[in-house]
Amino acid sequence: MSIRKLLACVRCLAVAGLVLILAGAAYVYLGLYPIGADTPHNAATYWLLESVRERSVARAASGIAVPGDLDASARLLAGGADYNDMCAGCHLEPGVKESDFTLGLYPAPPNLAEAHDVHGDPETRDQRRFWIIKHGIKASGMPAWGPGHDDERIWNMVAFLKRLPDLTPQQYQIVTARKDSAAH
Amino acid sequence: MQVRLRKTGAIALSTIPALLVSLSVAAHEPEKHAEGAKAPDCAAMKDMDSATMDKDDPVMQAMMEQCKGHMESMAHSKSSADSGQRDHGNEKASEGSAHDH
Repeated sequence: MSIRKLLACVRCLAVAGLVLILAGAAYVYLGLYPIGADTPHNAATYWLLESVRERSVARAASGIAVPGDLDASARLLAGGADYNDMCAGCHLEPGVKESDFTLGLYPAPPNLAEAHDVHGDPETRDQRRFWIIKHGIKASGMPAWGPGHDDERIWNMVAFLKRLPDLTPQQYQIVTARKDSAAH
Repeated sequence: MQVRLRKTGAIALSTIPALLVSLSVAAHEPEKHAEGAKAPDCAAMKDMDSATMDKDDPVMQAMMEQCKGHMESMAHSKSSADSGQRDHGNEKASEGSAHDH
């Protein structure tokens, strides 16, 4: 290929790239993307966002040291009460299949009362859950609980999540109730 | 000038702790959630299948911990009811034996 032809090709690619950038900018600034939570992403956007989320969480959570006593009953009690107050509205509880949040949020929050987490081995799952609870996920409705909760309290919630799918509605009620409640 | 600096220092010294205290209060405190929260429904435990309950299971231990007071009072009322029934039975037996005589 002669240098002249090569330059023409590069120029052609540069023009095509510029046109694509301008088209993308026009698409964004004209407000053409349907941003409503009741309209699902197209497949490409969904794949991109999910891949970014999963890869980012996996990288960030990989070095976290998991406590060895996550199966302690005291952790279940502490984490269960917090889960019931802070998480159950979106992530549900045994015997409840949907809420206004699960119907309205996009992406829909996962139902943590059902055994479905397939993210690697148990240690990876614990690391991942700890990181997500502590730092949250941008533009998903999942807040970062880290600013108001210390690590121990977040690990208690992770401990509770490990047993949540095993609980019946009656067990859930007893384990998550705050014993020192005013109603008691 | 020196008075002004001292005044600014005093304001800073009183504002920073107040700000820190207010931030710590704004954090999610379990005590706040305890108000109006539901108490554990320990009565439901008696309907559970005790054959499938493993006392070494952390879930079971957590439930026992939550319902410790309830179970103790249930055991106490059961034992007093049993002893009452036994006393009542003894009275009946002694009445019966008195009649026999």
